Amino acid sequence: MRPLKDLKKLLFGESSELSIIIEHLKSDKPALFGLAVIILLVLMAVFADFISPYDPNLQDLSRRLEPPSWEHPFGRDEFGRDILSRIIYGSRISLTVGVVVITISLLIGTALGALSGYIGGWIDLVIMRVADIFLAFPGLLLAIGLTAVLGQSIFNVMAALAIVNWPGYARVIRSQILYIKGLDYVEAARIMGASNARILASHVLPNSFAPIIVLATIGMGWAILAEAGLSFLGLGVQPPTPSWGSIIATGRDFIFRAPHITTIPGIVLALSILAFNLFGDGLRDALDPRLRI
Amino acid sequence: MTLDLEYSEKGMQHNHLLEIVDLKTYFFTKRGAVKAVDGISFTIDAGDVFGLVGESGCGKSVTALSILRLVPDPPGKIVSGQVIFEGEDLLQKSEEEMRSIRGAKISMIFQDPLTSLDPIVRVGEQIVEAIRTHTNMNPQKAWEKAVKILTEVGIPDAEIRAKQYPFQLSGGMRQRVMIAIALVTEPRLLIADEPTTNLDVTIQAQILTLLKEIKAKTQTSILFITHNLGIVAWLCNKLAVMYAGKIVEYGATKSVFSNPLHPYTTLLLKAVPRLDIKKEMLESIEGDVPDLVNPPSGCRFHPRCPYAKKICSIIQPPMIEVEEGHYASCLIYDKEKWRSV
Repeated sequence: MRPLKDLKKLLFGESSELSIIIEHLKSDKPALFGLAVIILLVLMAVFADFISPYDPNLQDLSRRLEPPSWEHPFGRDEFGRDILSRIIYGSRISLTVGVVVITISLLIGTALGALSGYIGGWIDLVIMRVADIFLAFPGLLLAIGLTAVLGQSIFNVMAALAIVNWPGYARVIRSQILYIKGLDYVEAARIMGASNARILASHVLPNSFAPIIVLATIGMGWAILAEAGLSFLGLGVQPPTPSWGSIIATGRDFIFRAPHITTIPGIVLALSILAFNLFGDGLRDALDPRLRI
Repeated sequence: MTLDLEYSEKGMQHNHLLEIVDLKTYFFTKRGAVKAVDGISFTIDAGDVFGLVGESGCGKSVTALSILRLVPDPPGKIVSGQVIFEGEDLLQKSEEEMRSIRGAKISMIFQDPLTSLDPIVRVGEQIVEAIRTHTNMNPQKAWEKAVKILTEVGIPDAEIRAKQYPFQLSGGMRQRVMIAIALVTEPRLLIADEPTTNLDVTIQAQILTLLKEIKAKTQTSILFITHNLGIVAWLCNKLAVMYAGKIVEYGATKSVFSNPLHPYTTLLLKAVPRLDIKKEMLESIEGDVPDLVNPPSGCRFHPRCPYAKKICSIIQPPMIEVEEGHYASCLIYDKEKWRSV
């Protein structure tokens, strides 16, 4: 523990923002649970090749729909493939989609939200009305429509989800910036002769990020669920590539004969989303300055 | 006077560091133009600590923002006048030229040190930023300079403090950091907008002492904006009293305090609690601050003035030099007009 603490001190100083957040999270059990699950998921995705017990695409039709056993803890699917291995590999798809979708949404949302909030005027009006148009559609429905137009592939799924998702970030960033640009330290920077670009980059944006970090964490859960939903509907990942959504979709036909095919990936999916939400909530509390002192 | 001489020897054509001539700053709202600053003039010389006194909403802070050309536009606009700083009219400068003046030649500190520092940037870095905005000093040297100035403004363990974040500093220390940021570029003029209002009394005294030391040590002139007459008496050598967007009295601190000319100033001085005079109740000035969209006709103070005559609501009193260098804008000192009615 000692060297870790020294490293922390070295990196972030005695009581920087980050170390305060870490201190706060330490005592937040649900958030720690969420974090543990997220770390587990990431490890699973990164080391899938080493930890998955079988080839996820190896079929054995003679043993199809086999229920969980010691040999195959999560059972086998309709082609006799090992479900545990497919879930492990499926985490790669889920996390990749989550990270990519959130990153793209963040980039678009931050850029447009910052322009909108900082410059204001007609630019604000145009950007916000476009955002409103996107927000007016039910998110998943719009994503389905977009993937239908763009064609079925995992890249198009990610593009569609990012297009659906950015307006939320743009709105939050904009409102943060509207608030922060009126604060004294921004005025102080202007009085000290700083340019607009500098004020935006070094004072306004960094101070706007706290709620965005929280939103992005919870957004990961949303993106994973949305990808599963699209794959479930057959719009996402194409077989035989394993995705949690598509495993659940194929298991649907055998829900009475082999309920483990749908329920186990369903539980994994629910648990992952819960983890991101719990961690996001914990972050929100940790970043809330009213809970400090 | 000696400073003025030095300037003329260098061939400079001006005597004043800052000369404000008939400055008007209005805010255009749906109700009409709010005449926040309505034709004020005053001068600050090198080495002056100039007090700008008045109640809330009389236009003191707008004056400061007008000097720096940072009046929020819209709705605010400098309608007319001149702000001559080191011989050049700041109102004619481009935005880029203004940026090189702000923070370098004219700095400002604010009321609330708690919110004037960026909460997520180390205080040392904020000073470094101020240095590097205006010079090409390398980061290492700028950091050393930041630590040095923190020591100079009276922050103990400056090296450690520089690495801390604003929330780890007390209110008084944060105001010291603000002062350090403002002074690190060695500006000619420091505008202090009620810098002690949000601090408790002991810390107030410390900060004011610091400002006085700065004045003694550096070339920096100070424009000190406050509603606290006690501070002005102690710190400033010249002062102007503002009322409803206009300057009503202007002169050396000594003569204004020993011989207040304008009725508003007289009443203000009576409203100050004093330890040496026993009183049951403090004096107060009847009435309210006027509406600056439709200010009273004639003298703006006449509805509240105990001496007001009919003529006061008709004629806008000019600035009258009653004693040498001591001006008041009141018709009482225009003997002819005052007697004529």
